[in-house]
Amino acid sequence: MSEARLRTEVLIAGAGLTGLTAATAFASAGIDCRIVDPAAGGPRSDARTTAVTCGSQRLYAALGVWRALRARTQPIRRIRVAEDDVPLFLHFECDDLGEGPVGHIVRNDDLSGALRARLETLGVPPVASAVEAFEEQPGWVRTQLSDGSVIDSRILIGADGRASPVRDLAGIGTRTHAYRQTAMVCTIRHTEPHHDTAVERFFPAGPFAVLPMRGRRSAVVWTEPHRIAARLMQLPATDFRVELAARFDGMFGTPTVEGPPTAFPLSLVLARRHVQGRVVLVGDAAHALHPIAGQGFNLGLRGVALLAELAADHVRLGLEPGDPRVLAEYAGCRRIDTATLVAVTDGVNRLFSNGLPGLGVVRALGLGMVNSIPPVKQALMRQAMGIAAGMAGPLPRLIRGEPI
Amino acid sequence: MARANASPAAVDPDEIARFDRLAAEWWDPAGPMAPLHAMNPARLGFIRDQVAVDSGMRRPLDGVRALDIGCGAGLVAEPLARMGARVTAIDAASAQLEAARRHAAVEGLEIDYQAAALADLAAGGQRFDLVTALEVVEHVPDPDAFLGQAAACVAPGGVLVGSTLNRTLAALAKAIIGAEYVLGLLPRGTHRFSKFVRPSEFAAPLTVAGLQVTAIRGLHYRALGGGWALGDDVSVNYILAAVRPG
Repeated sequence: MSEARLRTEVLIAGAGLTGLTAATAFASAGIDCRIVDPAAGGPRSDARTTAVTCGSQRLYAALGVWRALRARTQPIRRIRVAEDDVPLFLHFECDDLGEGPVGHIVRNDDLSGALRARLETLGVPPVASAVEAFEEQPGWVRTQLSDGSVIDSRILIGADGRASPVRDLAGIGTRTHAYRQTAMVCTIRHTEPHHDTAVERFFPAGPFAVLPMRGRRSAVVWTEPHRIAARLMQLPATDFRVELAARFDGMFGTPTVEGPPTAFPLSLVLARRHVQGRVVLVGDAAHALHPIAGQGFNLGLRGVALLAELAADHVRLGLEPGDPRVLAEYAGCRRIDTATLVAVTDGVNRLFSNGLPGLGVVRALGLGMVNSIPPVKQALMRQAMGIAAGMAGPLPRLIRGEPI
Repeated sequence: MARANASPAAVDPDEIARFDRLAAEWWDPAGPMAPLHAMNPARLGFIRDQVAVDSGMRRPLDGVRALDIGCGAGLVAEPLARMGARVTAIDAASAQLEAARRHAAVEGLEIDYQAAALADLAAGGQRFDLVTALEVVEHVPDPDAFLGQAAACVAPGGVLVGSTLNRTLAALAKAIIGAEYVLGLLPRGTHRFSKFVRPSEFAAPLTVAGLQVTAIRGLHYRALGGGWALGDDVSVNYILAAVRPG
């Protein structure tokens, strides 16, 4: 290889939401980084939405991207949980906590755009290239990219999604859980305002979650056994609307469905390790649960915030960010956070069919702390908001809204 | 530099031979020097806090003239250079200096590694804003003379930072019996109890040389926390700072 060899402290593979957030966190902390994604140059459109918890919102505020995003988000200020025919089982008002909204629903395109704009300012625009191979050297990891360049970095971050090529190249195996349910996701319009309310209704076959969007619209995540979901998906649009309206039960007036629903068989992919040598997996590359795109997203951001903080503390002492001690500490904390996610997800059948009330909404908010939820409403809320310290130790500074 | 190695007052040949064998493994974070790697964040944090104005910056020691005494393969010199200091680093063991030079070149760091004896440097009149002597004084034959020479290198307004093991039974138990024999953290024979230096013994020659001790902290290994941290108990490992009034 005769190409000029480049050096950076952190190389990030994958310019999805998690990768872009990681690049923003590292660059904001003064850590030299690069981000590559084979799709970085192409047209992008992701109409999906993500639930950003209060903790993640604070991270984005600390990184200077929330201000631009705020006007386009839909806050969640109320959570209602109903079981089957019991109309109101639990009702959470976030004002009870005085911490602001429990979370915000954000369009992926908007979040991605705000992060890209911030990265442009920081001088770290995503580069259209893919990781082809890498090898560990003493003190470095040497990565070969598809554009022919070779980059030496202290850390290689695999933020390249559920099917992570970096994970495969590292030889890190996965555990996959497939569940018997399918989640159908669609956007609805309703005739009455939702008053910033997220609703979860429990039915014997699975939960029916409604997350507020801007205007008189909401996102519906409706879970049924595969067989029933398959039948529902084949229904003509009018009949599907009738079935949906029966579950919706006139909560915010009459619903109409926007566009065809999308079906996701529920499955979980977990990487067996999050750290191997100088390779670190984050986001969906480490833990991915269909269908709710945001599932684990906020948990993944906690990982990103922690790694950036540990690395920043180290480089400010003149030490290198990929120091084995940094990565070992990171791996230790992530093991605990992920063990919690696994414990939760192993119980996912129960949860997605007839679990504890409130947990589905918590899940929909992308939170995996279910089994550690104390029987106290406010504590439950803090968990849902992603601002509760976990067993893995205190919250990373970014999640507290502090710069690193 | 040809005559630098020959200064017999400051270096003990037995000690040098012992460390020469370790030079190649020095930079392996899981190797024999793992304890020094592990102590580094706490030690460097202490140094930075004595000298830097803003700990949030990448180059908090920008422009600081630094001398690292007993630099080994550069475990302290390199971070100091990355923090922005202009580093001169000396050691009596040539194999380590060679390892240090090679490593710094790979890292793209400019560090002036010299096989100089401290006595010559002190007599030569070079003065520094920061002088570090970490885990060194317990290996020299005449600590008083060594510390006096180190202090002489501190410029007005500059600071000396030193760390070592305290001559207490706690230190004996933890450093020699614990670290060397039981846990195998350090190669056997690394330390001799008679050479451990009490804080008062560390401070005395510095005071004589016109420095004022401004801070002293203990360095503690947290077995469960997985790292070294600063604390109030100075009975085993400690680190201190002394400034020359400017």
